[in-house]
Amino acid sequence: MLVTQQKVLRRFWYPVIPADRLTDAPAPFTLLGTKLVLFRDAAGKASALIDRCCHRTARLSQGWLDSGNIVCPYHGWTYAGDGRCVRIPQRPGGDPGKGIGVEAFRCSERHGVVWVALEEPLGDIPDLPEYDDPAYRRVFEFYEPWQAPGLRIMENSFDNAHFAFVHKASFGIVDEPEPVQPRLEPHPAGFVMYADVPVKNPDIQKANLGIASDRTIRQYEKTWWMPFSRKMKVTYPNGLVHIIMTLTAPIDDRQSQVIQFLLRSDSEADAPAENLIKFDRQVTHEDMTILAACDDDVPLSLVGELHMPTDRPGLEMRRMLGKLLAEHGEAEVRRGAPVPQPLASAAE
Amino acid sequence: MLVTRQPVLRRFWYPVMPKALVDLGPQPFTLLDERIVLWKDGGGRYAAMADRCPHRSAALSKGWVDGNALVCPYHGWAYDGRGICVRVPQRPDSGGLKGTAVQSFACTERYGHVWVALDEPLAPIPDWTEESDPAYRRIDQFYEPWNCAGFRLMENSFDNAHIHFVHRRTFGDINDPNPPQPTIERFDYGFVARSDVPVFNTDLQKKNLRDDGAFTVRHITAHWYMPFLRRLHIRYPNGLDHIIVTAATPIADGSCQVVQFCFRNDTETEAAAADIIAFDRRVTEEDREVLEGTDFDAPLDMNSGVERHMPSDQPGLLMRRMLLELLAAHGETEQTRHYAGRQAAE
Repeated sequence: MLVTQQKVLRRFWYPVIPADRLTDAPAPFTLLGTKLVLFRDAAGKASALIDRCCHRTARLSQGWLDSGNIVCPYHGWTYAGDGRCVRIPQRPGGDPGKGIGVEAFRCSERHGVVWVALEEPLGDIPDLPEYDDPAYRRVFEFYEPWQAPGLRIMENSFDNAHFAFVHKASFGIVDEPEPVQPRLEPHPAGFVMYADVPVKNPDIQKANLGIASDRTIRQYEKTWWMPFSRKMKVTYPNGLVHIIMTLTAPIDDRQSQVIQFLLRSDSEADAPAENLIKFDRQVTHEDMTILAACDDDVPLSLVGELHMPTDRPGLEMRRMLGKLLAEHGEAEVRRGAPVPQPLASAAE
Repeated sequence: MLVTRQPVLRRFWYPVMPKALVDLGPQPFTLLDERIVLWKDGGGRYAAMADRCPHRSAALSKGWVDGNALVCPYHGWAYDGRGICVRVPQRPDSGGLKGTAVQSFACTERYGHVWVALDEPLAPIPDWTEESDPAYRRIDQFYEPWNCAGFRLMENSFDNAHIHFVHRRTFGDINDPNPPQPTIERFDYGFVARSDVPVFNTDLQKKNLRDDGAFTVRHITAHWYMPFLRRLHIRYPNGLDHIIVTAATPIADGSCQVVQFCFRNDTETEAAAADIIAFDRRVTEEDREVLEGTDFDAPLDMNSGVERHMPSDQPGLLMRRMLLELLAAHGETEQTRHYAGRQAAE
């Protein structure tokens, strides 16, 4: 599936920037191949416009803000958060006249993140009760582009079989490659997956978790927020809850912008944020390295790649996305990846 | 307009490279998507040919010059400046291969640069008397690719309104955004625009212009030579001439090679070339930042609704109209993604 070619994907909310990073300067963002400028309007509301002045196509994101309006760097044409042109400096009194403007997109702020939908969203931004629960602290981790499409990132994070290989240096148990089979249940945002997975507990994690043993169990409750975000809730045997929010937005067919933050049931005194980030940095590096090496054109049908039982969550994502396309009258658009040969014939 | 799809644009002279570079040996250049090789033969004549040996398609620009021939690096086939194969080393007695040639293009040297026309030129290279006038010096300023359409740079340089925004840190005055309208006179394959523009005078410019005022006036006589060449003659109140020649030689639809030099009627002691280049570099970088963000497929039809306009856009709109007339006179219509998309939607 080439995400920029599937129109229905324009009908989701995508996390584009942490809210506290959008301050008094405009920021460019490319979403599904559409170039946007993000900024805060006079009332402080996050806004998203097409990053292209209607006069000579200059990029508004190279301009600046004037009382919550964005000023084009080329000739100073000025736009409000709703896209209306409010000033043309070369005209008497700067009056732009009527009917001049650029395209504006739905833009919202939730869970400390700015979200954009390019077209009428099919659903709301999912709830995240722990975000506003004082029992949890928030730890911001990353905001960065990954060289991988959102579907690969999602599949990866619901795949119990990759730990023993990709994460053998961090928490995977290399001698126990047989993965725990997950249990899936429907969820309004997508689906939820449960699994109790034994993991290695290296020194840094002993301190981070307050668990002294060399191994521990992660009780996973992972929620897929269709199409490209997830909530990963881990409960450890000592009752500690570690929630990793991995919110991704498709930049283009190949790249995703990733926002990751934690919600933790302990305190800074229990485990310093710096050490939590340090361990998760190692783990995400392990994932991003392997994902960048995969084909960005993920097939939604079963053909095209080979599968095993623990691939089920990813296959369910593919099935649900395929169904979504069909419901909106779309065929899957592919670049035409070669079909792998069965192992028997490859050995011949 | 997608420049590579308008054959008439092949019928203009474009400065493609400082001759000093070509003097070093054969050089590749891409002009309107056409890969060419530039070289100087033993007699000092400059030549431009397709950068592709007809034998196994090797790039001739990776070869070398032997006397009056350019030698292919792959098997040594050699071509003269007209592209005719004069030697095939594997057939030493043949004197080359009859009827075998690479395509050659009109090529000449002016103003320290090599110029090329891919097809029969419609207009000559402009005559600028300053080149041979001892009162003037020529300073070569820039030679670099930009990721924007050449047309965007042309339009920009005749647009008095952008000065007060794009160049607000160098000479524009953002508090006085209303630009003076130029008077414009057309000529064959171009026009001249005249205007007097009050500008801010930075410290570097006070030195370069030998004018201590906080503001000065630029008396501007700007020539546009169709399609992507301009001469910007700025005369300052003290009689100083700063004449900038800028070509936005089209490499492809989305890129151009910026070739810029200037003529000055002062001396190196009065204003160092390095300082003159330094100021123009700052100004140029300001333009570049904005122009590289624009859509390279600039629409020529001003009524298409693809872009909005204002009165100070008049020079750029006249360029668009004259280019449309040029296309029509040669039986072409504008090739663009914008209107094609619209027709498909209808």
